[in-house]
Amino acid sequence: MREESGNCHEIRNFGELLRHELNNPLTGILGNAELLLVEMHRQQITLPEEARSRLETIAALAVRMRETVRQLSEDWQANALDFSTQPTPKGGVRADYRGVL
Amino acid sequence: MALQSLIGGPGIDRVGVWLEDPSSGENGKALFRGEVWDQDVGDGPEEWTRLSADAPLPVELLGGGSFECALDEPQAGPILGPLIDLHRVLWTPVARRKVMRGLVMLGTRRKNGALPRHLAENLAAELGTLLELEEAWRLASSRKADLELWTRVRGLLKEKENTNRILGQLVENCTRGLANGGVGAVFAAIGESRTVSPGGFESSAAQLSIRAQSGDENWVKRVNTESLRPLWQRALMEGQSLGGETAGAFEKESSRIIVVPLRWGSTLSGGLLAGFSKLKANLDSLERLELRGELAAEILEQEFQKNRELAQLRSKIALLEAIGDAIVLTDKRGCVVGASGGARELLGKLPAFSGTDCELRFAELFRPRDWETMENWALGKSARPSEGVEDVVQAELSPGIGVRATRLAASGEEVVAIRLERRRNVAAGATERRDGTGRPDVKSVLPPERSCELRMLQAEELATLVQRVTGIAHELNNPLTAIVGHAQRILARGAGNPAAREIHQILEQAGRASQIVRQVLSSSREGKPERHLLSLNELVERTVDLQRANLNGFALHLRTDLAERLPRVDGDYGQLQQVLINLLQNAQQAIELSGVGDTFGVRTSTNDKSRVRMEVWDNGPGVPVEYRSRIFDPHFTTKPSGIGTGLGLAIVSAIVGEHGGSAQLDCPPEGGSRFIVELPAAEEELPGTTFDDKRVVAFRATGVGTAAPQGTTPRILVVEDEPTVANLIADVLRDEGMQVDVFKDGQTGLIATQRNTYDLSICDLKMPGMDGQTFYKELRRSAHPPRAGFLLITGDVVGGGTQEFLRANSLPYLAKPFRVEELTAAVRQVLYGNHHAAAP
Repeated sequence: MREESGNCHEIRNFGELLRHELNNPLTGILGNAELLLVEMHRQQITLPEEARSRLETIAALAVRMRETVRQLSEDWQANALDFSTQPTPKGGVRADYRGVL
Repeated sequence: MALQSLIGGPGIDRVGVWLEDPSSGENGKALFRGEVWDQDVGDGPEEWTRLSADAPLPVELLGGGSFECALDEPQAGPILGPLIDLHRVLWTPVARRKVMRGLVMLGTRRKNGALPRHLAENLAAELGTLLELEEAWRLASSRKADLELWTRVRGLLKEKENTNRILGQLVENCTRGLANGGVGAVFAAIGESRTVSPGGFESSAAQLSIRAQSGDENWVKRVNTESLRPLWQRALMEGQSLGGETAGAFEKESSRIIVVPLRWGSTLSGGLLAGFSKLKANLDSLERLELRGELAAEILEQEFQKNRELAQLRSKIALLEAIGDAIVLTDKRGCVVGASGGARELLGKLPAFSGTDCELRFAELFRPRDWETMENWALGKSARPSEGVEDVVQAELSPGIGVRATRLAASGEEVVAIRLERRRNVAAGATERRDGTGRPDVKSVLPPERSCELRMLQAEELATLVQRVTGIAHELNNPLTAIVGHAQRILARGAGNPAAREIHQILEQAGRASQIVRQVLSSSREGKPERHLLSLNELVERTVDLQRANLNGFALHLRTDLAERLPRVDGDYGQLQQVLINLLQNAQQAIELSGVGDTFGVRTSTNDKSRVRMEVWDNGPGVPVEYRSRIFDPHFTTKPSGIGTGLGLAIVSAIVGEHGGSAQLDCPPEGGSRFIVELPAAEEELPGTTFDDKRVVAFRATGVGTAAPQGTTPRILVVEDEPTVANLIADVLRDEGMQVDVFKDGQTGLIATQRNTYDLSICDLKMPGMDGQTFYKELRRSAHPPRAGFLLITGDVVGGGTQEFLRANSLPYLAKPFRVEELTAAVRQVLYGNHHAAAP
């Protein structure tokens, strides 16, 4: 039972963890990359062309990650479940359940 | 036939022609039927038209040629009617495939003069050709009839026609005459037996259960008697058609019985038995019977499978009835075939379900305005979500009563399982039900096995959730790896970089994101807990942040007081986080339920560096003295019914105990309560880095390869499906002076190894198509494995399967996201061994 209850909480926690916490570092990554690109565009700083390409890649990847996290967030809200009162066995049982239905 | 046209030929007074009559016979002997024409009397008498095969005919005819004889000598036996009054007669056989199928007779009353043999032989040859054509036509007709039968039966099967009715049509066809597309058997029966196997019958007295019969009923009664049982038992055991004689089995004629085993795939389900007169049982009959046997086998097997599915469905329906969650089963027509107790409660009156004959459409459970939407969704006609995403739709049962329907992953092709849930905005009733005001708590009233089924349903939901979150975590690792790599590459381009500050910030934020992703993957793993060096302060900070989100607007204060330079502990992050969550929830609930106090918090400290202390305190009502000794006991709770499981503190005690620590309760005199958790400090500290310390594990794989020679240009094979990561690796290693070939999948990577010899293969473990494990095994087995060895890249080292694979093969690996220097260090380590590996 300890494992069961623990598992429920873990799942709830890491879902929220991702949703809440990933957006901050992603904002930092995207913001800094875009800032540098703008400064290069305005010729406030000079960096080799290769660096511009790398910064653009970083910004694109950060946007991609943000979309992934946003998707998770939407999924999570759509599937908000109350696990705290439903102790559940870990792995393995899934296969048994498939056999039942 | 105008036999009279032959009369008047040279000396011919009488002409007779007889052909075998396939529709008649006596005592198994063929009967010839024909005509006789006499010059004087015209048509011969009726009795002359029949000629038995055992009539006193000259034995010379058996030689196949014509035979002429004089009839002047006294006859030894009875004289054939058509020969009366003749002096000479010429017999010519009508043969087909060297078997006599008829006779031509020319007779004369003259004593002298030969009969025209050529006329008789020409006539016999023409008749033979006619017979041949007739036979071919009959064969074509029977094939056509068989095809029609096959099409009709398959059509009936498709329309789910009653099985017995189809079997009845099959046996009736067996006894129908050839002209009507039948096989011409005297009787036929289909018997079923599931006790037979190639190894024999379970009992020698096993019987065939007759499912359909046609023809002589007396014969069917003999199927399970000693006269016939040995024959069909042998046929079924040997799995092939057998024939046998059954003299006396019929009243009028001795017969041949053919038994065709009913086999579908490897399953024997019974036999098709048919009785023929001897003359009619031929190879063609057997072939046509076997076709019908095949059809019967398919019919029985379909029925068997259908019954089995129905039995399973009925057991599921029975099981569902006891489940409190609202689950309905629908068939592929979109009709409801089963419902759980919870569904009955949610949906109101539902019919009893037997697994068949239910015409209640799933869509009709909802408001008419939602019928079309729900019908399309139930039939799978609406847009389906991508793999891994739940198939959900929402509708209203009645105005204001919203329901969310989820197609469960356990659904099959025939039966679909759908979970119905009241939507969030109207879900207050769910709590009431658990409190016993509505539906009783199923877990408390159901026997343990039923409760287990309920938990299985929840496990399914959880497993799906875990899968989705871990999948997303994996998706994040690839871009993170590339971000870190590109940022580092920009920094590496010389001193005085004007972008250094921003790039450092990017790296720092990427490191933070990586840590979160790793933590998620670690939390979601299955199997035994994993111990790592971890900072209790960091764990407290993150967990308290989460707990703050759960304060739900209550006027409560959550405080933290964290000690500086707190030694790290060797523990399982998820488990220890669980300890803290339980204690925090306990404290919060104590205040909320009693209305006493407004603050709770966490404090960390250490005394002598050997133990680390974490205290969770509150200024609530405290724990009554009489309860303090039992507070960590399982199922002990001071909370009202329906709140908490009584396991929270028991779990705390167990986890802390497993970590070699202790958990105790302290109730200060000023009020409130304080739970103190003490854990042993880790004996050995690893130097702190932004990234986890255990993520780079590189060592010489035993027996894989030899170190690459110094001074040469190593050639590296990179197999990675994520282009940004692949290009980054290539970029970094080329800067290190290595020759790098990049491939986006394992298959093309393997082909490249046939052309080039590589020193090292770097491969991502998780790739579409051929995954990293398969690629490793294939390349290892090939004639050209990399000389120095392999380096695997993985987004999830904590996954049970991944760990097992890496350990079993002693493989060095690099966890995503990695830093540039970690990549080069790992590559050098594999290429040149520990002594030459650059320090990260």
